Amino acid sequence: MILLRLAYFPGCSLKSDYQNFEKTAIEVLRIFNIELVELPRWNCCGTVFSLSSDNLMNYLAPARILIRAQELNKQIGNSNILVTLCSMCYNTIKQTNNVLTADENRDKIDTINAFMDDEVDYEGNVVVKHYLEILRDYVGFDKIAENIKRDLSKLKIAPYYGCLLLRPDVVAVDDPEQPKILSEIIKSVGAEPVEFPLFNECCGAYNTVTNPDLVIEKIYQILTSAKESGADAIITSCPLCFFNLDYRQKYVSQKYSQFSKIPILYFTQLLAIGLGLDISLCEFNKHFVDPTRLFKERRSE
Amino acid sequence: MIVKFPIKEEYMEFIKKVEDISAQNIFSCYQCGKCSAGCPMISSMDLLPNQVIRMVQFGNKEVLSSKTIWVCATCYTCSIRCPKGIDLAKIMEALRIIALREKKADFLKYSKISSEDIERMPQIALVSASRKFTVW
Repeated sequence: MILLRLAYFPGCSLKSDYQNFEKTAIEVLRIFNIELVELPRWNCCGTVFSLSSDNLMNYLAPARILIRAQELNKQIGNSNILVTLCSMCYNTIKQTNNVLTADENRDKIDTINAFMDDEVDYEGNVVVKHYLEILRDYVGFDKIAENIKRDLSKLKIAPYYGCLLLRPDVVAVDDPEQPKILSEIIKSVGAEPVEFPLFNECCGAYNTVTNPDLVIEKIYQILTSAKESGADAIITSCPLCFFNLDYRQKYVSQKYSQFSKIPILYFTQLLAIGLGLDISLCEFNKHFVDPTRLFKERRSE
Repeated sequence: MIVKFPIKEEYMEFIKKVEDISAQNIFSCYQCGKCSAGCPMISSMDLLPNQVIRMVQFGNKEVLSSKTIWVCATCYTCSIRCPKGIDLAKIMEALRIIALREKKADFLKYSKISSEDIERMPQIALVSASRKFTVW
């Protein structure tokens, strides 16, 4: 029985390249009787929060999403929460919401509302939350641990946060310098968290388009750091980090012949496996470094 | 004794523009270097982040031709660590915007992206790079 229904914004990557991230996330929450209700109509969030103060146009895309969430929440009536899964969407929509709800920006929100006369006004009461916060605050790590069906105790998993879950600090899902939330997830599925020095180091982000060499170098550093700390795999919540960490390993191994590949997982895939969902849901065939063997070798069933 | 170093009008215009777009006070930086100490991208930068700020404080527009502003990945590490509360990510963004608007040329060359990358990259890679590196 569904106890809680929450408005949910998927974003583009989860509907194209990384459907496995979304599918596992939805099924995992369903186990705990929480349903993610996708916004009936949505658009790209813009992927990066606009840092310039002189161009309100850049706030329009996330503002539209917030309006859609506000209207959907009036229908489903559980809360004023909007859940996001992709770290980039989370960061962009949450930072925009902070701008639009700040008292000193009253004139900005008035301008935006007046400009978007095809939409109802944004009333400023949507609360943007990342999926991880829903797990922590509405499910609880203990509850996850109670429902674990597969033994993952031999797995050593490194949590990789990247940037946008933690910074800037006003949108951080946890302590920006010493986060624990992903380690808690790893512990709750029964695996061993391996904290490594570069857990929150930027992977190079969109430099992957203009300067892939830089990203390859960063990825090499990050992955080596995790492996030297003993990790068998790394979990993340950002599709861009995922692309860089996973697919760019192809080029890392071309550049560094001694480099051995390491599987990258979305944290929801790890949860799905631990919670006993069908492994095919994870669509590991879409990964560049296939994590399947990791689970076959280690699973003590 | 107060010693004043007046900034010439021509330099002031640039400083003012950076401050307007970024909504940050450039002169609150006292060059402690904490931003550069934490920056994950410095190995590919020609100017350290604190040097970028210093050049803006002097109104030196040459900063617009530095590699640094294009390598910054907006990871906000400097922004959360600055003891003076300067949001450096906003200053880097302001410099990119000024450079793009003045040159009227995109930094991102779509023709240079390999077809393999185009096929494999998630949209967020291309959209974010376009937002940061093209004139709009």
